[in-house]
Amino acid sequence: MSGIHKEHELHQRRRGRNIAVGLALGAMVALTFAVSMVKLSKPQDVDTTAPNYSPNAEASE
Amino acid sequence: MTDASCINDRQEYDAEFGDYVELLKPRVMRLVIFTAAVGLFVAPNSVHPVIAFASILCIAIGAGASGALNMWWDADIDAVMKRTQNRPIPSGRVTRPEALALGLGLSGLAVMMLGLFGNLLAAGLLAFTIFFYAVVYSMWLKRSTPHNIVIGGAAGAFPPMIGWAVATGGVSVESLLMFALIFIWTPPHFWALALFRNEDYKAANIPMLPVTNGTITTRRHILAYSILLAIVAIALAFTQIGGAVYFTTSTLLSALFLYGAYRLWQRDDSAALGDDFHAEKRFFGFSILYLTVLFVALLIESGLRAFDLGFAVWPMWF
Repeated sequence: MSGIHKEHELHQRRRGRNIAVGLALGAMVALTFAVSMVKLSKPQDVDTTAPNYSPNAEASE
Repeated sequence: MTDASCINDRQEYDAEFGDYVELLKPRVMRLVIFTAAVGLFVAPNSVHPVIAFASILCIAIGAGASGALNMWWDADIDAVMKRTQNRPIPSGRVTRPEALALGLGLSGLAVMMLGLFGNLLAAGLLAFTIFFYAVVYSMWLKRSTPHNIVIGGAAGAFPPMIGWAVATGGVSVESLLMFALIFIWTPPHFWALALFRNEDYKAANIPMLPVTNGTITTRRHILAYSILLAIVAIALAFTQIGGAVYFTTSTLLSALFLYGAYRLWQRDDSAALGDDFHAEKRFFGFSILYLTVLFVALLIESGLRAFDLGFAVWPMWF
């Protein structure tokens, strides 16, 4: 059983790779969240590309 | 089968994260990030910093993905040429199927995310750029025509146009001239490299202009393209993103570029071999500086306009 406890160099390298991929995925999630916040925070009478665009939002209030 | 035998059965080297990053051609990505950022920031519309950052990241990943696809396709010739022998595939650190998977996966991701973060035009242009570099240039032109670099240069010329499309949602004379600037700059830049790397290209059987038509023709072509380049570079000064700073910079640098091209045209192989391609290497190095400084000048013009420091009256012909 002692051989199983000893970590092969390949496992260490893979761990490094997995951590880097995990961080990259985490960064992508954070970026998507940040962009969503920016896009959703635009007033709906300004963002002409938004699905809820309403040019007369201020006038109707 | 024991754990140890499983490990030994696999390839000797298991790729590290850095090997995959190397597949994305980080040096090319740096240039793409820079030119795309300039295209985005000099546009008349302001873009939220988060959207700008996310969009430029997508453009960079898309460019990297096309680099991985290029390395997947060109692994055989990369192994022959000295300049490319240490790339991840020829050096055995990454397998070809891995490079293909990474290239295709990141291409799809970058285009999709740019469509969501920016707009569909920018995403469409990015998709076309990847297709152009991977299929039109790498698979088709590179090995079949001495004008490979002329048409293939379009792939490297798209990033500022994509940046501009993210900001404005369209294409205009300014973005077309930024495209033309890189497009026409690419051939003299790479032909200068091909002149002093001629043996490498011959060994890899790539039909670069010095290999197929000789160095005298190549030197003539470099001069002709440099004249065209100077016209395009200076024309950009008379658009809404140009100005006095850019005009002065582009005129001065284009004059130096033309002088360098003229010197190359006057030289022959014996002169080049005599001083180990000194003038060719200098011209190649200067060409990188030339493009970088012109784009920095465009950024400076944009900054001056933002603070109302530009010339009040500047001719806009385009």
